Formats: sequence, C-alpha cells, structure tokens
Amino acid sequence: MLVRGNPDSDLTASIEVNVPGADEWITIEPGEEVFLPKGERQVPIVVKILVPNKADFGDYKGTIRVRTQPADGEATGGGAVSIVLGARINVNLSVIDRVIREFEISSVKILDFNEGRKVWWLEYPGKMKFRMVLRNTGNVPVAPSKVTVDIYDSTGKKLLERTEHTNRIKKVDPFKTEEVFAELPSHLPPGNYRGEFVIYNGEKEVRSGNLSFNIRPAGTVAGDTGYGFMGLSLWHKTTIVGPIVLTLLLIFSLIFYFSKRSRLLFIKLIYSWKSVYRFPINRTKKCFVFVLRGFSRRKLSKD
Amino acid sequence: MSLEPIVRYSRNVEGKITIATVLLCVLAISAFFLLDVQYKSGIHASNVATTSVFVVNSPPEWVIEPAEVPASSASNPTNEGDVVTWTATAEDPNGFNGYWLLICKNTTATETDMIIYDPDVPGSQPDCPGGEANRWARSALTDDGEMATATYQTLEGRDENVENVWYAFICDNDEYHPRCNVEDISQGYGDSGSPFYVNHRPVFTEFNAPDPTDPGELAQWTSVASNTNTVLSDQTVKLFVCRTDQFDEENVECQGGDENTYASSTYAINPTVNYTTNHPKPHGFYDAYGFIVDAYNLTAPLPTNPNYHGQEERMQGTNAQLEINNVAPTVEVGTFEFFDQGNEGDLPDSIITPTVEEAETHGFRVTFETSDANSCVNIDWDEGIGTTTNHMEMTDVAVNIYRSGVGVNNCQEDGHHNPNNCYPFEVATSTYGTEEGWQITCTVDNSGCAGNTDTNVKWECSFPLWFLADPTDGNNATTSVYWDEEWVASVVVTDSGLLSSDLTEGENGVDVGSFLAFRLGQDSIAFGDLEVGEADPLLDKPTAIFATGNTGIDQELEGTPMCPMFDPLDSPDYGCADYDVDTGTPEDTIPARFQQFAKGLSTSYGSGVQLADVRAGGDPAFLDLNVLKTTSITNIQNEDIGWGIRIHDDITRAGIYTGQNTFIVVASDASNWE
Repeated sequence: MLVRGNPDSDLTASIEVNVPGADEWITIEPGEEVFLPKGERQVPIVVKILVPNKADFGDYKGTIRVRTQPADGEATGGGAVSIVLGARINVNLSVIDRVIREFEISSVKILDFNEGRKVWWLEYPGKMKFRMVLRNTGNVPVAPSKVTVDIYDSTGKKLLERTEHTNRIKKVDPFKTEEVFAELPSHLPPGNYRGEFVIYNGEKEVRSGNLSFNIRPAGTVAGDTGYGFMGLSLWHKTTIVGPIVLTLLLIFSLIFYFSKRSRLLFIKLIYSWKSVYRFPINRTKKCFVFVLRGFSRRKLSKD
Repeated sequence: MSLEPIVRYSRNVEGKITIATVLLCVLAISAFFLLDVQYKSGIHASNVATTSVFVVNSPPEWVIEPAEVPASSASNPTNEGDVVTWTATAEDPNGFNGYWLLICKNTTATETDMIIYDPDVPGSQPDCPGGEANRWARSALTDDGEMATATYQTLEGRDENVENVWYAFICDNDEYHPRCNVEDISQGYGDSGSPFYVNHRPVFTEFNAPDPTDPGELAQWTSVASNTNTVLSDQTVKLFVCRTDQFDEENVECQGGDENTYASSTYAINPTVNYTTNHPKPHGFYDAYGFIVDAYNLTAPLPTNPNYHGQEERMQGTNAQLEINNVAPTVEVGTFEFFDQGNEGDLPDSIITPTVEEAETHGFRVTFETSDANSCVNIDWDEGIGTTTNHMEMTDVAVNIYRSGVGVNNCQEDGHHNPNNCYPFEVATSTYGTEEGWQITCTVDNSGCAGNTDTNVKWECSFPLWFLADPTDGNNATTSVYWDEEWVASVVVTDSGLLSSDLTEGENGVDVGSFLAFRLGQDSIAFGDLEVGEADPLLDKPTAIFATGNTGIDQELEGTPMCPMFDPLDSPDYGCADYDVDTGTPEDTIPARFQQFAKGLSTSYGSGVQLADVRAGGDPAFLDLNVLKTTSITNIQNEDIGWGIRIHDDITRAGIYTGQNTFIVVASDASNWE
C-alpha cells in the first residue's frame, strides 16, 4: 500500500525491481508506473512473484524501490534543490528443494447442523460442519490430515460421542488463506454441546481446543442435507449392499444354469485350464516311470 | 323281514280263529276305558272331610355369597369418595319372592332385630338392625335367582374408618311372612369379603424448594408426606413437581404431561425429587408446584378441600420455586478473528497494518464469541417475541488489544496504556484522539442467538491503532523487534446479572505489519550563494527526517544534476548538459556528485557521502541514519541530514541552478530502533 500523509497534488510513482536473478519473476500490478491522484491517501499495489519451474535453488536478495515525482513536474522555488520522496522494500526470496507442508489455523467454528434421521432400520447421522480458516505457510497445497471431535454435554463434563471427519478437506494453495470445512458424523439428538477438537497435519497436532455448538431438530438448518449412504455405519451399508450382491449372484447363477451355451463355455474354460495344469503333472509322471524302469533294468542286469 | 309266513298262517283255520280272538279282546278293553265302567262296592259314604295346612315362608338362601366388586382390601382399598359395591345372588325356596341384599354394619341372630319388609306399607324395604344408621348398603328388590347389587358411597375426609366390617343379609318380600336369613349371614371371603377399606388422602405437610442451582446441575425438592392409613399395606407416596399448578388426577400426572413436569419421585415416605436443570437455562425463578399421590392414586388434599381442615394439610399444589443461579459468562478463546481495515468479508486477516502517519488508523476489527450457561437470552425472552437487545443475557464486553509479549495482566487498566503495545479498555474515552485516548466500540450480533437453548453470541469490535504500534511481522530480529510475537485481544464479558467472566485472552492473534513512513522537515535544500570553486565548509544545510511510521529508518539518497534549465521531467538529462557522470564537469551543470551529505550538521565538506547520480543508474547512496522508532505520539523521532555543495571550477555561467534529490526511506535494522 502506497500511502501519503498530505495528498495535495498528483504524483507519479515509478517502481523499480532490482532482485538479481529474479527480476523477471516479479511483476507489479497495476504496473511499474502508478498514478497517485490528489486527495487519495492510499493507493494499493500488488507485487506478484512467480517462480519458474526450473529456477535454481538458492536465496535471491534485492530491493524494490518506489520513487515519486510530481505529475506536472513542478519543482520548488529556484536556487533550491527540490525534494521528492521514495521508499525501498527489501526482497529476500528462498527457492528450496524441500516440500514444506505447513499451515496455521486462525479460527475455528462448529456450525449449527440438523440432527440425524432414521429411515426404516437405517440410521443416517447428522453432518457436523467444522469450519476452519486455514493459512498455508508452506510451499505446497495443504489441508488438515485429520480432524477429530470429542462431543460432551453442554456442561462439558460427560463424554457422549467421539467422531472423526469423513470428507476430503479442500487443499489451500501456498500463501493463501481460505475457509475449509471438515464434515463429521454425529448421532446425537438436538441440544447444546461442547466439542473438544484436534486438528492434525500428518501426525502432528496443529491446533486443539473446545467449542460450543448446537444440534438442531431435523429441518431447522436450511441447506443442511445431512449424510447419505456414505454416512451409514459399515453394518448398515452391508445390509443394503449385501442383498443386492446376493441377488445379482443368484440372477447370474440362474442365467448360467439355464443357458446351454454358458455351460459349454464354462466347461471349455475348465478343460483349458485343466490342460495347463495337467501337462506338467503328466510329464512328471512319465519321467518318474522312466526312471523307475531304468532302475529296474539295471537291477535286473546286475542280477 | 318277510310277511309271507304271516299271510300264509292267516289263510288257515287256526290263524283265522287266533285273529278273531285278539280282535275281540281289544274291543273289550277299549270299551271298558271309554265308557268308564266303575266297579261299585257294596259299601257307600254318605259325608266329605276338608283338610288344610299353612306352609311357612322360608328366608332366601345364598346362591352366590356376597363379594365386594372390586375387592376392597388393605392392599387395594377404596379411595375415599369412591363407591363400594357388593354383589350377591340368592333364591327363595318358596320360589315366588324377590329379595333384597342388605349390607349392615353389625349383625344379629334374631329376626326380630331386623326391620322386615311390611307388605302393607307402600315402599317398605327391609333394613339392618338399628336401621339406616347401621346400614352400609341395600340393593333394590331383585328377582329370585338374579344378581343383586348394593353400593355405598364412601365419605370424603378422615372421619370414616379405614377398616369397616360388614355383614350381608338377604331378605325376601313374602306377602305373609317376609323373612331375612339371620341364621345364614355372610361376610364374604378373602379380599372381597369383610371388611372393606377406605383409603384417605395422604398427608402432605412440607414441600421444600431446592437450593439455588447452576444450569445443568442437580436440583432437589424435598417433602414431608406419607399415607398415614397404617392399616393399609402401603404408606408410601409419590411427589410430582409440575411447572403449572394443575394436576391431572385421572391420569395421575402433571397437567400437560411430561412437558409440564420437572420430575417425579419414586414411591417413598417423605419423597424427594431430583431434577437435572437444563443447560443452558436463563437465571431466575421458575415456578414449581408439588403434588403428592399415594400408592392408590389418591392425591393429597388441596388447600381448598373443605373436608380437610388442618393447616398441615395445605401443601398440595404449593409453589416451591426453582432458582437458577446466574453463572458468569465465559469467552470462547478459539473464536477470535482479526480483520484489517477495509476487509468487510468473512475471512480474517493474518496481518493488520497502520496506514496513517502520525495518527490513528481506524477500521480494524476483532470478532469473537462469548458463552453463558444461562443461555444467550435472559429470563424475559419469549419465543414469540424473538431475540432483541433487551433480551440478551451477555450485555457488555471490555476488550483490550495488546502485543502478546506484554501479557494479559499488564494490559487491562488505564495506567497500562501504551500506544506502542497496549490498548486497554479502561483508557478514558474522553481523551479520545490524544495520546491518552483510545476508543474501541463493540456490538453484539444477536442473529446467531436463537433463544434459551443457545449459549453463544458473537461480538464485533472496531478499534484504531496508533501509527507507532509495534510491528510483529517478519521472520527474524532484523525485520522487527517483536517478530516472534503477535497482537492479541483479551476480553471480559458481563451479563445481565452483572456477573463478569475472568479476563480471558484469545488463542488467535494477528501480526501488526511494518508501517514504513517518514516525513521531511523541509521540502527543498537551499545551498545559498556560492562562487565558482567555492564549497560549503560544513555539511550544514539541514533536512530533518522524521520517523512517522512504526519502524526505525535509514535513508538512501540520489539526485539529479543542477543547472539553470533543470526540467525534472526531461529524463535522462533533466535539461542539463550531457556529461560523463563520474568525471564530467560541464560549464553550466553541477553534477550530483558535488553534493555531499552526512548525519548531523557538523561534518566538513569532503568528509560526507557523495550524492548518487540518478543518471548513473546504480543504487542510491546509503546513509546509516538510524532514526529511532517513534515511541511517543507527541515526540516524533528525527535526525538531521546535513548537506553541502561545491561549485566546480568549470562553471562559467552565473545564475540560479536547481535540481532534484530523492530521499528513499529504508526500514533500518530492528536492533537500531531503540
């Protein structure tokens, strides 16, 4: 941000990048000449750094200088040296050959969500949305590897449920700060609860704490559709998938049974495999017989 | 069977004779009977004697002996005010009479004691010995062999005995000699037999409110109550604590069911009710009405019951209010978010930077949540009204903003205020705008508070920072002194009951960025009048450099040549003669290198630093000026740069020479800021 205390005239700012070896990586927006209008105290500029894929590893140090000039070139009174102002920004870049997968969590919140629902025997849990503001302090896209929440009653004394995130948390690009969500299942009824959370980066615990949150009656929180099939427990999933698989197997078995062509094909297949594994067996047998005969001939001749 | 042999027999003589004989006999016998032929003896009576006998009426007899229906026993008594019913079946041996079933309080063995039915008196009915006063019940006249039913309405109040013996009689309505079965009275058998039991209302003498309770904790109501009818098998009672003063006696529950019930006890003598209060729950007093019911579903008497007069009987439906304590609110430490000026979005910033020199920069924001076990609304909140400011439980916050190294306890009072690193809430706002003044404004966002089941509200505070607030950006001690710290907020939240939380520091902080800013004390350098070959003896033409940001500063300096036709826009010559930057000395141009500068005003010309020439294209000349970081709003740190010039010998043209110097501010090494 270019700022000036007395914006009483138009100025032009020229921006010079001097970072040996990395000059071409750095671009200035809106450009290397920036107009600072009269009356404007602040004019933002954006410095972008795009490191090429094949950049050499190492440190790159330099400066960015901003020099201002009255737009109309008006100088002060004659016989004096007029003064214009500028600023120097130090640049220190490090291009490294190491992946840094680091992030900070600047704030967390558990949003209100609807309770789970039961359809016949299937218990669909409620979908907790755990909001995190993640700042990527590394050099590769990153997301938390795991988020766990231990849910207590509203007094924080009685542990009611343990849950872990189930979704793929969106990755945040380096140097960016974004809002990401972890989704966690919960079977608890409506009410006020406290959750003790832990956010992991790999095996390392990045952030922990506790938060208060609410589970609302079904349909209260607009836009919360809850979990679908993937939110069911393994057993419940089995009760759906299992019969379907068995039914398909049965159908195929019946088709096979009543289809002559299918049977013939199957038999051919068996026999083709049979020939594969029978060949070495037969050969082994013949060798054995040959050896035995040879042995017995020798014995007879000796005798 | 064939008739042929008979036919053949009848055709012969013998057969015919036989048949005729039979027929004659039949005719004779028939005539005898039809004509009633009487044999008269020879002796005849001449007079008739009439005889008679009076058969005495017998009392009716039991067919089914009397029984209470339902049985009224010590384990299943009849509640006072309810009806005791007896049934029995009797028959009259005479076969023509009806009967009454009489249930009497006493017995007799003589019929004379009984009040017998008088057929001459219209409406006469039999009665017990002693009459109505000794009668429990009497059935209507019942037909012989039918079941008779007699009922007795028990009395309300304690006057009636619990255990009541009865004797059953049956009396007929014979018109000549009505009888009662005094010799065969019955008292029934087993539980349905005598006596019947009347259960009176339980005694309820005390109903005690629980101690003031925190939300989510256990509240206990105690009582002194029992069923004092010791004859009965169960003296225990059950205590209901209801939210309203209505009790549904039919369903034996608080009116409105579970929704209006705090809790109920088990059956016990002097029962207690335990109730875990809601969490959250607004503080205040909540009505709680106690109702006692005994094991036979009979409630204790209401204070208005005219049949119960003792003062000790007056506790039914009384109110022993539940008091929910006001609990201090808390601060949700993980919810702090900081926003830079101009950021109106939802994503917080990791760095905020002052941008106004020598003044406060406004528009920084911090948001956070606070929580209260009494919920986010007070007891006056109503679902129908919605959530307004008047209903908020957490009413005020005091927020301190400070650099983390200062510590939470060292930035909470007015005296701690330091615009470099500590902005306590208690700084007097009347001095706003001065060094002593600072103002943070906070508002509560009640849109996230749905009512008394929510604990949290969100606060948003807007605050300024002075230009000299310590920066915490960078990743080493060269960049900033406090590069390894951050700025944080601590909060005290106060509720409607004037309870406050502890001073709590948020877990999330923010960096304050470096604000590189300076001001010159002069807008030009006037070297004055010099002759050709003459130089300023001292570099004493001043330019004061003021550090108007939050860093210490150094200077880079470069300049254009000076000449009479100087034009700042005419790059690269600037209207001056072309010359070799390092060696040229044109007759009407003073190259930049003939200017020198130094820190302070006492350096001799020749000992200063040569001004770099912009035409050379290299780096500006650096001056390690080390202006300290300004730490006082009223005392801006500054240093002088002294200037001097020499008019080289090749100058031939007299006149006014002008040029332009560029002062480039540089953040100095943080170790030189103090």
